[in-house]
Amino acid sequence: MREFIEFIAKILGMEVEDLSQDTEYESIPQWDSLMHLVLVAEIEDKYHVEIPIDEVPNIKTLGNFYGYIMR
Amino acid sequence: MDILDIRGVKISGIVACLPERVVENRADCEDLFPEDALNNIIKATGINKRYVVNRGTTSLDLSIQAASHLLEKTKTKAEDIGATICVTFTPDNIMPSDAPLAQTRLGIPKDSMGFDIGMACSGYGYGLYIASTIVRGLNKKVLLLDGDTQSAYVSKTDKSTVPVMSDVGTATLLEPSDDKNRWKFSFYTDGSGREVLKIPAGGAKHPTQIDDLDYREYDDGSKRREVDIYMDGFEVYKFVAQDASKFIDRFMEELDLTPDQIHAFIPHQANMYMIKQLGKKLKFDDDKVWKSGDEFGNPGSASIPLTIAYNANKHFTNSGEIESLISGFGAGLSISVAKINISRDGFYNIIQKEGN
Repeated sequence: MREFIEFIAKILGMEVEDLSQDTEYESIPQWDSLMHLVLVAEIEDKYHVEIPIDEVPNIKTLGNFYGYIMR
Repeated sequence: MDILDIRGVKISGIVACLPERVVENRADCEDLFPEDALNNIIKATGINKRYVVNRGTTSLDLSIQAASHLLEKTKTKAEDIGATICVTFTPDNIMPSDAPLAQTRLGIPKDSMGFDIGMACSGYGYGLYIASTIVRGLNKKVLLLDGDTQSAYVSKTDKSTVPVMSDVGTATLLEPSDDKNRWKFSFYTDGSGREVLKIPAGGAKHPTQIDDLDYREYDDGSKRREVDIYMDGFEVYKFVAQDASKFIDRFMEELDLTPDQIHAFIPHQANMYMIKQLGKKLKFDDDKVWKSGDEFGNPGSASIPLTIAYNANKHFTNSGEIESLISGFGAGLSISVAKINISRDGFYNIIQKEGN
């Protein structure tokens, strides 16, 4: 999880300490709708997972994203 | 689901006319996003550059130039055209509509129809269906112009629209045909989502007031006016990802169409990531998903004819017909989907308006 959060922090340009698995979409200005797409694309790339397009809008927290990596 | 059937119509050609100016996203958006975020956004949307008009040029000018080129190259006489239809949500004026000016500039007879269809990104399917019914009704050629000057309504400091939206004008010529091809259309409308993609001021409900021209700052740091396009990117994405993908899937199911029977899936070029994911969801191989957004950005409903003009010559099958599935989706909220044929003997080209 820590490595995942570090990866996300780098994309969002934030400190690891300011993020957790409970961080929610739009709770921070850095994670807006365009960044949501960026996160999906980067996570799919790095962790070789596929997040189906119709499930992307249901992802609300970093923990939700992490769930796809753990599948 | 209602499926509308058209037969006896073919596309004689499609020409897109790009505006004068190419804008590189990296330079144009450098003040909007930190450098790393901008790189990620460009990578994820797949849109590196966009074409936009110079002030004073409109999509109608571009569409008329595209149409002149198309009529010349297909040796079509203006007097043989029975109707001029413009699909646009950015007409030159609220009144009159765009089509009469196109009719006059192109020399199309006065005793003919000319009207606009005021639709955003789903508009090309509407235009094609209505134009086809008129081809059948008149047994004459019909000119369908599709284009938007989105840059006139995009705030340069709005994070959700600037990196993707562009301008273009296109012309599609339709004519009666005795071939056996049958086109199928279906439409989806959900006005409950009208707030997620709109221009708040400037219509009769909210005529522009002086303070609508002031820039307001929003939570995400974007600044825009009430006369600019507002897009809730997440809700629009959700609509495409869930409603549109399901609707297109159902359309294929109703017609017993499988991805291997389709040579080209031509979606509205919302952004490259969405198109790729939509194609995947519908089980199309990526090379069947026609693209142009990486080169030209998202110009609204005309992204479909632009994409056809950009790809058609490269993709002809042995039979000379490209069985195509087109789908536009966006403001309204609204979806159009159609199974059409693109023929080898049609004329397809992209031109650009001169000037910098």
